[in-house]
Amino acid sequence: MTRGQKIPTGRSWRDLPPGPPSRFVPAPVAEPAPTTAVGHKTNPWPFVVGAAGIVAVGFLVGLVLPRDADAEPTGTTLSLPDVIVPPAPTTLPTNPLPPDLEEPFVDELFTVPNPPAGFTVEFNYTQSSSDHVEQTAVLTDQTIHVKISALVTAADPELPAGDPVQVRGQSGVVDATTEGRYALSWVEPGKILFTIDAPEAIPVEELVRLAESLEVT
Amino acid sequence: MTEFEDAAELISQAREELHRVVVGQERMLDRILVSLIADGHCLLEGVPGLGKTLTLSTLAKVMGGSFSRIQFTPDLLPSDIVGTRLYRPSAERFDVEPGPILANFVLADEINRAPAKVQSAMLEVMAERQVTISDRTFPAPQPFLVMATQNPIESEGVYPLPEAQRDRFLMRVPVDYPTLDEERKIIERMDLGSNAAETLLGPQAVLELQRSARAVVVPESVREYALGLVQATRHPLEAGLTQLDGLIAFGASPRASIALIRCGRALALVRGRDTVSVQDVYDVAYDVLNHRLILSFDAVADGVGIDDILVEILSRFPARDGWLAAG
Repeated sequence: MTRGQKIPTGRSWRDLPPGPPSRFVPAPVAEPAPTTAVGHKTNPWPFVVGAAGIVAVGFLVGLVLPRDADAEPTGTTLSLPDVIVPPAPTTLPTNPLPPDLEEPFVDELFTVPNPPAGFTVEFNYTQSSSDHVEQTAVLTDQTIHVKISALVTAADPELPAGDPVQVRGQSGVVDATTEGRYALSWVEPGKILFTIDAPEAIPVEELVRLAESLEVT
Repeated sequence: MTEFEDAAELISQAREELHRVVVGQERMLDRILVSLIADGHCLLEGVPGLGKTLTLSTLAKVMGGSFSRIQFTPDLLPSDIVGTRLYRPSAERFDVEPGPILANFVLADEINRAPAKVQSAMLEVMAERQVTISDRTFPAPQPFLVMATQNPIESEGVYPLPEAQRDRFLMRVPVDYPTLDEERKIIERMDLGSNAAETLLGPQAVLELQRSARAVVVPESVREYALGLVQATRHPLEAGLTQLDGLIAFGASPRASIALIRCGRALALVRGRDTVSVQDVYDVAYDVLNHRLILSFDAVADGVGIDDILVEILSRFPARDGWLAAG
């Protein structure tokens, strides 16, 4: 926004959020103001051309059509066409999608209903085959990236090696993945292998809190 | 129990005693207690009939100490507040008669009904806690707290408070209507007869609470957040709040930064903690800042209010206080 663009008005202390944001929240970009300010000059030519068009149509309707009507023989009866409604289809419409297109994967494995304040969440779904489905969610701050992935395969999922930890009432493990990052893994009852990959700066308890806040569907 | 937990327990008992008379209004009571513990003056603003005067007189009763009430009227004179010199014919000399302002708790009721010359009489005592009459200076008793009420909707017979005096109030607290359940309880109490609050503390206990509040730790990140908020009111462009450019004529003064930290400390103590969090400062920021900003002509012309500006600042200005802490 720039000077002259209004901020929302009529607010009070009741509209304050419960806590401060953890990152700067930019103001939404406003639509440009309509150009109907006092003293603004409008180009008249479109109106002139439009008015001329209306006059021309009026001329045709007023002069040419009545002359054609006079040419009709008197005493004839005009009638409406017999069929004005197309006949109902006898078969149900078929799927317009070509049969060779793969249907999009729509079943969510999990959602993040309460992401940490200031983080944006980006979901991604992949289905490489009918028995291999993966959903990921990446929580991003300016400096922190946390990746949550849920994997469903035909084979029974196996937990990787690591230190045991209790997550969402299930047995899980914590193990280092790459330098400066580690992963928290556990298996949900629907044989879904969950993994949260995060920087080491985030304590394990925070990751467990994040895992507890997930909604597995 | 630690010193801070003891203090929180004491404050909790005082709050319960207040609730024997005042129904609900948790937000207002929080702010009044914070103002008392932070050793600052408090201005309650709300439509008539919400219990502002009752709350403040009950607080004075619960806290003990001397109490005086000044009903501000258009014909009030400065000497009616601070005191005056009186000629004693029997002694053939002038004596100083101190005014009602020299009490521990001063209730300035309907403060905006007195003109500016009377308000000016309050400036010295509110800022420097002393009164000068003729050539003599009298210190205000400790603790000293001015609790004022004003009605924001009337325009007849009222005078807006001068900016210098508004700035001397630590907080300006809006008082809201009670909820349906609270109002039902108010009516039930009215039928049963009025309750009376007992004195729980005394001036010494209040001073002890104020001393404990000063010992609450303020981390660097919290200090930076408070400073950042005040700076954002003065230089919104530098804070990235481009939408506020040209809307604030005068931002908050350094007194606001001091007030944010003092109120943050007091709220942390009310909550039983020995360290201020960003949330504490955030919770008091609206009440500390809302009477310290002066809008530009552009803002007034566009119908933008102080509340719109503060909601914009507080909901967008960031606080870095840990990863999931703010969530």
